[in-house]
Amino acid sequence: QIRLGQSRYSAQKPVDILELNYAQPKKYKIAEIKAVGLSTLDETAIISLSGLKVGDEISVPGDAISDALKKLWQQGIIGDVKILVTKIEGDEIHLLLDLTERPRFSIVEFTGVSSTQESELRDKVQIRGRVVREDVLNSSKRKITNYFVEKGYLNTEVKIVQERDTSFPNSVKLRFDVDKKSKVKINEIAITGNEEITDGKIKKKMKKTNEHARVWIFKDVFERIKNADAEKVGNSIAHRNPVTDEEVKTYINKNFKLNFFNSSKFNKKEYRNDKDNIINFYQTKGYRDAEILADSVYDFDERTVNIDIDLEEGRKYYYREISFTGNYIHDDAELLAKLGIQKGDTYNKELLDKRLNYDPTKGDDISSLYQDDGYLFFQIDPVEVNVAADSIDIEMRIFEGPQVTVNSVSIEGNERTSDHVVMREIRILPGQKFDRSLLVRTIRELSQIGYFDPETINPDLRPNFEDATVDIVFQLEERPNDQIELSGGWGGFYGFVGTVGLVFNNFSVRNIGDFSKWRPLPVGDGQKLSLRVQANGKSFQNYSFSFTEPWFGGKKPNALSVSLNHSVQRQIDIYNQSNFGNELGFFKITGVTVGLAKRVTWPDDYFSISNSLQYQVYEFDQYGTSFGLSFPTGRLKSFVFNTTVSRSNVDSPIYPRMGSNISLGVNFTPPYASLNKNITEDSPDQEKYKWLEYHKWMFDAKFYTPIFGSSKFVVSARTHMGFLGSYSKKVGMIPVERFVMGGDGMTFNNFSLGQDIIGLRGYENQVLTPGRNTRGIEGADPYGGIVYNKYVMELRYLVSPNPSATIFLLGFAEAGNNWGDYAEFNPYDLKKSAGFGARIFMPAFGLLGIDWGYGFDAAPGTVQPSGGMFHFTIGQQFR
Amino acid sequence: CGKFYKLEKSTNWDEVYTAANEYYEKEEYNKAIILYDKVLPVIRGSEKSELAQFNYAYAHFRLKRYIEAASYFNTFYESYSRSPLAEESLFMHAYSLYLDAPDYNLDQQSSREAVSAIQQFINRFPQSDSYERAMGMIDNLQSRFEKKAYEEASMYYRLTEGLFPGQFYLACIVNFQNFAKSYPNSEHNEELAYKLVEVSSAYAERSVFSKKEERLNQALEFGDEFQRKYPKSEYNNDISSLITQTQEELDAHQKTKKQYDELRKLEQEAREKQEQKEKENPDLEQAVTPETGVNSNK
Repeated sequence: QIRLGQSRYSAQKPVDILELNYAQPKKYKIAEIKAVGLSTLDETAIISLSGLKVGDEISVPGDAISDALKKLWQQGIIGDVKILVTKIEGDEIHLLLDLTERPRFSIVEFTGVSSTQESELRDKVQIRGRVVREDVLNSSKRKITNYFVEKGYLNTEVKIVQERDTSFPNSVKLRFDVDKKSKVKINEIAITGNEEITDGKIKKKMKKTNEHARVWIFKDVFERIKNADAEKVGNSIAHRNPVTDEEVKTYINKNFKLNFFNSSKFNKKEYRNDKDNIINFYQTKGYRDAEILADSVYDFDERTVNIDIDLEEGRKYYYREISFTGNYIHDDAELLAKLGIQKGDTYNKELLDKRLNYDPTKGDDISSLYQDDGYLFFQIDPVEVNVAADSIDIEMRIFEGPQVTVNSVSIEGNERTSDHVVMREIRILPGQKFDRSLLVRTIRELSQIGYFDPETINPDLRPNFEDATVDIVFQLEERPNDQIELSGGWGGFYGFVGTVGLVFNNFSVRNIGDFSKWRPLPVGDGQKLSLRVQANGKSFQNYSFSFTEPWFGGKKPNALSVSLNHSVQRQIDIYNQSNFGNELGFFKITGVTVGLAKRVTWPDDYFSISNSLQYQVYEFDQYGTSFGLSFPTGRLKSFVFNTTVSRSNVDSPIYPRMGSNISLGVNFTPPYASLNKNITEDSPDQEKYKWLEYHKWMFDAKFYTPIFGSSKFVVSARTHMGFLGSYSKKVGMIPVERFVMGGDGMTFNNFSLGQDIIGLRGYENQVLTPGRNTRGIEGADPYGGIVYNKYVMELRYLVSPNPSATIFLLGFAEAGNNWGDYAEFNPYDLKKSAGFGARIFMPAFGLLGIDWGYGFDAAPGTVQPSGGMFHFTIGQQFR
Repeated sequence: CGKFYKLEKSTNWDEVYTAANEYYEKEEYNKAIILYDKVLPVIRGSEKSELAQFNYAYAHFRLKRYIEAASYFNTFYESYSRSPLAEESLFMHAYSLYLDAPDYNLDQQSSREAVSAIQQFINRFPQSDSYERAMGMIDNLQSRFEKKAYEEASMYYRLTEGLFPGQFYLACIVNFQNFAKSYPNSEHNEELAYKLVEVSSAYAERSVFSKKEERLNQALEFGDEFQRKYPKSEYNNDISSLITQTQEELDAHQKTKKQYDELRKLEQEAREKQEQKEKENPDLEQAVTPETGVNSNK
């Protein structure tokens, strides 16, 4: 027998009888292929899988044979294979595949895991149909163990049970018995060798490795008492040892750990990261040589481990000389000023890197000096040229490179959104000099349009050295941002209470006709369509529809919007037992609005101006008097022109960290009644207000600033005010479109039509509203204020930046008031409150919130302070 | 339904295999896929496996799960490269990717993958009956890329009337030239070449004094190039008037520049004279100073 071939598992070496001339492979034609050693496998199938075929011309030795072996092995279904040459006649060759079959896994089962875990494990361990081999089993076992170790089950045990499968020849049933044991948590972290920095601070730097929450003080006190003997007690009473602050801290540290928000799960990977975090932290404090000498993780009890870390801090270093080389465009003095680090400062590698390369909080680092001006290839390399005692001399070696021009700008990853919707928002353009600040601004603005995950927007720069150009590709990841609002319930005598709202933020009118482009609706043109029905049984209903095209005309970001709105409020007789739910009257508002909002470039390009026209009909049926009108049934109309100037440069719509949002708006109507000579001060309301005339001014400003040097804490300050005015005395202040204040500020909860609702937490809905206590009494003041002020201060803390559920906590203090007469207006006479709350933003549901507020002042008509209460909110509260 | 449920739990592989094929024939692809999923690993290496894998890929294709289908057809092709079904499977791999390729105005990543898959098919089976069809698919995808680039150019052109005209004129100049380089045979080239002259002269007119001449010259160059390339173009009248207009602008600019330079020269000469004078009699300087002082007081 002539053999040629290879075997992975047999110790036998192939015997080469053929003279194999590797320098001059010979070509043969395959005359025959056969396979032997098969029991369940099929000869034709195996030969087909080998990729060899009778009639093929192959060279021996050559790739064809080794490829065939590789292909057969890849299937994972054979125990061993050799390819033998059985005969050579002239240029014809006869091949034999000598196979060994082994049992294969026909069924794989898991026990001791949940069904989700099982399906994830099945994806990781794909061994069904493969041959039974020790290494396959071991690697599967390892995969399963690792899977659970990553989840914190450090002591997971996996047992393998094999059994013959009688239903199919040569096959094996396999079962993994998994015993996860309990999750391993961290009991205590002991740090030694730290002299300058306290345990507490170091532990804080370990972001994902945290001690178990504990309150041991009771146990400790109990044990002390138990172990105390008379003499010791006498001692400690006789002379109380002086206790230093440090000792108190250490004691507290040992016996209290109130990190209920942090998981104390032990995760190896995170632990490794956290060790790096400790060293990084030391380096920011000047301890350049800090290192972890030794660390160990050992079992404390069955469920917990202890961690010991032994550090060496080394000495603290300072900067001495800072010099620059290779800079031709900017001189040393200018660079040093930009750097903001001086001789004598504590050595801080992290800060140095920030100031050299990219400082996200300020954006005016040394690189910006160059990279905002086209020098894309700019590099700066700080070299420690001399380290003496506690001082370090640094030489900044600079490569300036050529000025780079942008050659092309494109986007990737827009699987739903049309190119032009994204491209028109990009600030950095072909032909311009490269400018990093424009790049950063583009990223910010792309994240604001909301179609893409802000955390993964990545500008991929593809530079071309030869002609000093760069191609910029913005890599994006689409995320869903249509919102569905569904809430409902049974609200006693109100009947059904519910809201159905749909907001499509990336609608496409153009694609409505083409069903093939519906995913699942026509999307991609960046238009906004919203539909909403709110109903509270019979007593309150609101229907609204609005459509916005953000780039009307396609040339400028002029947003055209059209909206229709119809609301009904009914007064239901709830006292009449025989005819429960009888309608006593209603108030309806129907309106249509057309608006155009423009972005402008002056005074700067954060400004925008919007104008709108609104036609509205107010219809009263037995309802007019509760607004202070002299008639119960009738109809008012209004034609309102609105202009709003606003400036916004907040960095993110959901959780703004920086920037401000200021707007001033005015609503005004033509002076119908003032010009009409037939109308006097004594005219009936029907005539005076047939066409409403008024002007209304609204001012809102919001500011956001990060504090504590972290991007998680943000202070938000807001101020809001509004004024309602009339053109002439003979008409006076209109009874509708006034301000009502107090509570959560939500339209839906207030059942208040034809009014502006201003929230003030810590007070009941609408309690700060003039005319409230005399509402409905004939001849009384109209319901609602004509001037209001509100100031809010919030401290926010971002718990989860995850775009699929952004969560933040807030503490607030606010104050506001609402007056029915300019004579009473006193901006210092405010109702104050404070409290805290939480917000969660989910793309599908929008913003949901809960606040607890305490009102310090008494609402009008009461003497007690308003006290504490909860408020629930849905959606962004504007005021 | 009860029958299918039993099959799902069955370990009688022959039965499952037969049933899977039956469901496939009956066009109940969802059920076929579930059963194939169960049985495929077990029957691997048997004669049944080849057809089962092929059907499995087709079942996904019929359900319009093109991404999965493409991948299973590819796996089939790699395992059974000598099978009579190999050609069809490689074609179907490419065709699935082709059907999955998105509209021109979305990310074209998967379109590019489709192009290379079709290319692979054409290279491997140049004699195939589906050759023409494959070429047609490539043409279709190429025209999508071209349309995408043309729409991008049009957008830049449209935005020259927007908020930041200057920046978009420049963007057009760079972008239109890139388009011509990438798609030398495009029917849009004439139109874009005309627009290039238009935007470059508009850009030059708005330029600052120091850069005006260079940009006007560039616009004129684009104009000449257009006339050379498209002598019979319908845009020719417009181009001629654009060129004349730009030329006039250039002449005027050069005239102004000349005057400015002369003025500068005179100034320079005067200054030099003054300096020379001061050099010649340094005493004079002291004598002059009080005089100027008096003058400024007036």
